[in-house]
Amino acid sequence: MSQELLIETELEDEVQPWEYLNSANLKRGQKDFEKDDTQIQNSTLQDSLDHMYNALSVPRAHTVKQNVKAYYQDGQWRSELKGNFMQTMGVVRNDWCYLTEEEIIYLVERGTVEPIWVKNGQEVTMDLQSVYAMCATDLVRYQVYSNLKRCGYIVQRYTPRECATVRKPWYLPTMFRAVLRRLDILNWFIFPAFTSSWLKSKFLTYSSIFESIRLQFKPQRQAAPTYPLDITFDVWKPDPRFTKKSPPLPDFQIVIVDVSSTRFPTKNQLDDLFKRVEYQGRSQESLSEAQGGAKEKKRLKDGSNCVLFALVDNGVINYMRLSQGNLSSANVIPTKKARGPTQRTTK
Amino acid sequence: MTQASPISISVVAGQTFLLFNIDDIKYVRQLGIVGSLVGTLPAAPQQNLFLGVPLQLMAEEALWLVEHGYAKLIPDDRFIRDIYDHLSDSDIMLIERELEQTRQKERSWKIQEHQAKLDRLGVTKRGGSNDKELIEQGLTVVVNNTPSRLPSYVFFKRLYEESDILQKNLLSGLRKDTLSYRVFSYLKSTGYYMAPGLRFGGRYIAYPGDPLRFHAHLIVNCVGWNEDIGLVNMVGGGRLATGVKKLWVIGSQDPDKDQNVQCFSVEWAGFG
Repeated sequence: MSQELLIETELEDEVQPWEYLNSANLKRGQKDFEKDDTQIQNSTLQDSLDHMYNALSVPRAHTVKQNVKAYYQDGQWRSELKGNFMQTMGVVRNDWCYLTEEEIIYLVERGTVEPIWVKNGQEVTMDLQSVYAMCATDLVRYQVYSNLKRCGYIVQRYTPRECATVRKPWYLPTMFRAVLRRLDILNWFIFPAFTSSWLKSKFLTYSSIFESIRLQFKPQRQAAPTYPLDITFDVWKPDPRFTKKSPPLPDFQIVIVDVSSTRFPTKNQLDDLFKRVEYQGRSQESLSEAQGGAKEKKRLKDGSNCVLFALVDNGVINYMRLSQGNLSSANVIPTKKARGPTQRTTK
Repeated sequence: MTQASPISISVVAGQTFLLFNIDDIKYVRQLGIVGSLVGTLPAAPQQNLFLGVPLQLMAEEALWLVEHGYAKLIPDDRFIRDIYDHLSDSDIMLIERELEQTRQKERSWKIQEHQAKLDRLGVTKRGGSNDKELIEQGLTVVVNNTPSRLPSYVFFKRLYEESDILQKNLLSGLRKDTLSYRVFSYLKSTGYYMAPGLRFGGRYIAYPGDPLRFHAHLIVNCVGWNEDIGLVNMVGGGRLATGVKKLWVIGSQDPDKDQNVQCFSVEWAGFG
């Protein structure tokens, strides 16, 4: 019973016994409900602890052959041009690969590069604690970064795309707009005589009537939020064809939120954010409107814009996906083939 | 294991409390402070289930350790910079020499191994320069957890630990008068092991013993004495907690009366 109930929680939601680190497939370990002060319980706990400490004590090391040195000088990290990580990380300039703070901590932590402090032309190998001290200006950001990297994703700091054209809203002169608005109000009084759909329609089918009474949504113009949210990372699924120089549109975009200091985003903040998001598949979503069936359902469920929030509480990370539902664009009017009571199936 | 002198907690980026020394991690674990491992495990870097050094402490955990005299706080950005800035040329030579010594040991051990292997295989041709090159390439480069091997480490550590003004300054940022800390230390005093509560939508989760062996019992929320709990919160929290076989707990304290923290638990009855 307890197993069935608990199976719903994620593996990562529970602290796992470290014995399972060495087993080929990671599975849920057995745990007890409460202390019974038996010898066997104490010794299994001690076993678990010993496994954990042993795993922690494995030195962070690589061979001379694999050695890549990263130098810290004038507040900047640069590494030799060597190693697989360069395919997705760093920026190459003047025969050096310049690394961001989260990139260098990650690479040092997993034992890929050797951090070097340069002083008067002499070199001293640094350690993990020193690297954290020198570059952890935002540890929450680093923790999300490394969590995603360990999952295998390609992660880079968010950069607004230059090539993307920002569609500027087209403004009519103010007076002309005012006149139009008046006409709009008129429509309500003499409805539906002045609407274009009424003039065109013959009202021979249900769908033409539905079409004529369909609500027209206009996007509301809003003031920019006082505290706009920032997109922190662009994230790509692992892809061997990925190039740093001309990355494709990211698969996801991530906003990092520290739960201790932030409230749920306001509608204003979200709208502003949705205007800026750019990821793969976003443009296709609006194109595939005409397609029906399962795809349509998925499109409605996924919404038109989406952004991932990484919520961080003292090193524990939760991901949350917020997207804009676009029910209004759904084609709900029954077509000739499928319409009315003839379609209804009885059970 | 008892430790004569207090351990040092690294304060990174002004508000994050980290432990890099594995002995320190073992020590606080015996005191019932678990923290969360947040680093990549070098032995298995492509997974998120088992993580490694450093260990991140909640502010409450750090404060509890300092208050009970088990730990001191060290501002790592200044501490580390001081250590490296005070490295003299002779220090660097000394480090270099020590490194060369360990490398020499590894080298001779590797050569021995290599010879033994050749003997076993019955190969008589010896001493190719190729072999030497291969052995040289196979030597290990180690990146330590802490800078404890640097000469001025002990001096600066003591300097920061014994500066009362500095310790007081760092502590004042921790605000021990908050309700959440009082709830934390109350539950800690009754023997619970505490962890951050985000996974189950609370302030903390509490375990009856070491989380490695036991499932959590409580999802703890801190609510001010005169603050509205919110019925919807209670129903939502209660249902969730019961669904994962835990209790939804609210802890609070009457600010007017000097009494203990009081805790109430909510269980979803599933009635009707």
